[in-house]
Amino acid sequence: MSTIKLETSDGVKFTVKTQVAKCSGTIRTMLEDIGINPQDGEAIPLSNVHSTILQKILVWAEHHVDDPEPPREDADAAKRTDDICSWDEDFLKVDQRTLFDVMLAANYLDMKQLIAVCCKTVANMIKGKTADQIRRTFNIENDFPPGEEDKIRLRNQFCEERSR
Amino acid sequence: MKPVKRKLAGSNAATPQVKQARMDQPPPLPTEVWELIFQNLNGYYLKMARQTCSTWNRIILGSTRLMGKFILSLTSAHFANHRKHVRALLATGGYTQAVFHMYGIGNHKPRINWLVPLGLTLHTLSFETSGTLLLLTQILKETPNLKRLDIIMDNQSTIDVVPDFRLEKLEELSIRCFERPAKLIRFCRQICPRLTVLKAFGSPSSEGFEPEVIAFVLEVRKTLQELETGLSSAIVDALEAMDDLRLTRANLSGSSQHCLRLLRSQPNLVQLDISRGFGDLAVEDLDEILTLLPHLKTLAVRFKAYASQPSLSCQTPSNIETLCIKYGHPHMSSKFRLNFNIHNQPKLRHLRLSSCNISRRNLRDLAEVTSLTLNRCHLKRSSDLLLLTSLQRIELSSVRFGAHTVPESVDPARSRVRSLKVKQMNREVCVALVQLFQGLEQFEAGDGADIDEDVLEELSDNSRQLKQLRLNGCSFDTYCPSDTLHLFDALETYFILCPVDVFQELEESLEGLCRGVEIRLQGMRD
Repeated sequence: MSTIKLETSDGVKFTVKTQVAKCSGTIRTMLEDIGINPQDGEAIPLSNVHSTILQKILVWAEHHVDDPEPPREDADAAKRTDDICSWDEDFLKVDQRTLFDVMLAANYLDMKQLIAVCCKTVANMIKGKTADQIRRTFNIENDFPPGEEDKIRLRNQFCEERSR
Repeated sequence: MKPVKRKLAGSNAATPQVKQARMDQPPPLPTEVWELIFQNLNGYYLKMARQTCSTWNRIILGSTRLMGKFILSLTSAHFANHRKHVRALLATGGYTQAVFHMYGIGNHKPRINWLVPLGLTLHTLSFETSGTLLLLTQILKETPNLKRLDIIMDNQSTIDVVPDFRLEKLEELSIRCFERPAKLIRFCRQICPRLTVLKAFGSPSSEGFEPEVIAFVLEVRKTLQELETGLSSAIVDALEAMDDLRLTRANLSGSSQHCLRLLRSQPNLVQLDISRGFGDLAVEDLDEILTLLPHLKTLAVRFKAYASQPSLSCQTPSNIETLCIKYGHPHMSSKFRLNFNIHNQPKLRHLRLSSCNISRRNLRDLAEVTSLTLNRCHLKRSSDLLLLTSLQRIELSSVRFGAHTVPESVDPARSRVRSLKVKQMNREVCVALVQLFQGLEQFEAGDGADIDEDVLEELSDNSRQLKQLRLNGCSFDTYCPSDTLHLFDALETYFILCPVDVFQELEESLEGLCRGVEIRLQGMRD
């Protein structure tokens, strides 16, 4: 089985099965289109990813390496967020910093399925909350000028939500 | 001034701690990732997100896809009473869909330049007005990117306007003008050069309707795929003569004779609705329709009522996936019913029946059906519905059952139904139904459904995973919905449409209960 080497921002080298590494669109493009030859034994530098996060992401990729391509969904419909598989749910039971770091890295590595499941997890942290509770959850500052929030609330009342 | 400065300088000692706190903060995510996150939210929580902070508000406003989840809905009252806010909303733009209700707007109508940023992003507009074609012209001139337009006009005295603009991108147009629609139809024909969908409501007998509809269809016939219109002899003659008119969807009203004649010249129809109005279609005509239209997938028909109880059977094989059968008219006595007797429709998945008798044998044959709507129908036993083993969604309105006994051979725990909606049913039937359909995720009680605490307790006992509960127009005389909230652990959304006189009371009782549940309370308009 072929392997390739990856090097993280903090200089740690990982030896990874090629098939697992190809869960990343970014790495797949490097190997297939740009023609980096993994046999050269040289590590592919991932300058935006820290070793602790790559470690975690590789665990996910290893578990999902044989997943079939997901069906195309209606992009405009509000997606279900209660269909996260229990393995992923456990995998993403981490502090918010790590969750966001995983998302940043998954975005950089172009791992659509991992991003999708992280996004659902974050969406679930928003659902069921008021604006104030959301701010507390994400440690966000209410940076609206005085009166602005009320204006947005009032103007929101002029919008119906599409039922579809 | 100086002491203050010194104090600020002296607070430097605290900086490392502040930095420490920042280190624990999650890193900021790029806009495109936030967009993906927000894509998972429905309109309600998207509004919450907009209220959270200016960054999120900006991200959402900047995304056409996310803004597509909102429909900007403005009425004459908004224009009159919240003029500043309305103007600001229009100036923000971003919305892709809007509904304008401009009745008696008079002096409050928007200034034309107000629409400029909004008009460019809008692709769907529903416009209801008692105003004139002049008002219509002013608005539509600013919305060059419209793809779908729905006009309801209630003004008989409007003067003719020759438009000096065109909606080149418009694909779907629906026009309703209750009296003298000719001027509006002519106006629209001049601004809509390329339509795929044309819906012209109106009676062929109203002045000018016939020639204007014919002229309109003639103009757009090469691109037109869907047509909705009333038929007359002259309209059918004209449409038959258009060789390059190839419709795939049609919604027709008028006599069955006219409809059948038109169907003969439109063999490509995939979708057909001839259920509007009080039709005079005979049950025997179903076979002819299916023979004429081999590609049909969706069919809605209304048959005329007979003195006896006729039987609807069908020998012609078809590819029908969605079938809607109506019988007689809504005001006839409930003793008139059609014996539904259709078998061997292997593709059938969605079935809607009005005023029909349905036998057990028939239900066994419909095992592939996934969604069923019954209105004023009759079944021997409610548990017979479980014979539909693929059923996922069911909607029942004034359905009569002979009995609610569940035979031992039937196991309600195996029901795959996840969504139940009831209307016009008494309490006893409601209890029987929520016991029958176990494991529901959605339950909706519409008007005339007699829901009380007992029904909701039975519902929670049998459907632990209920996610959505909708009570529309229930009376709440005997109980308060806030007392029943604790029954449902998995509930995500709770919609209540209540009589206006109890609105405030309910609002107070529900306040503060919204932990994890999206509660929506709406007062019923008279």
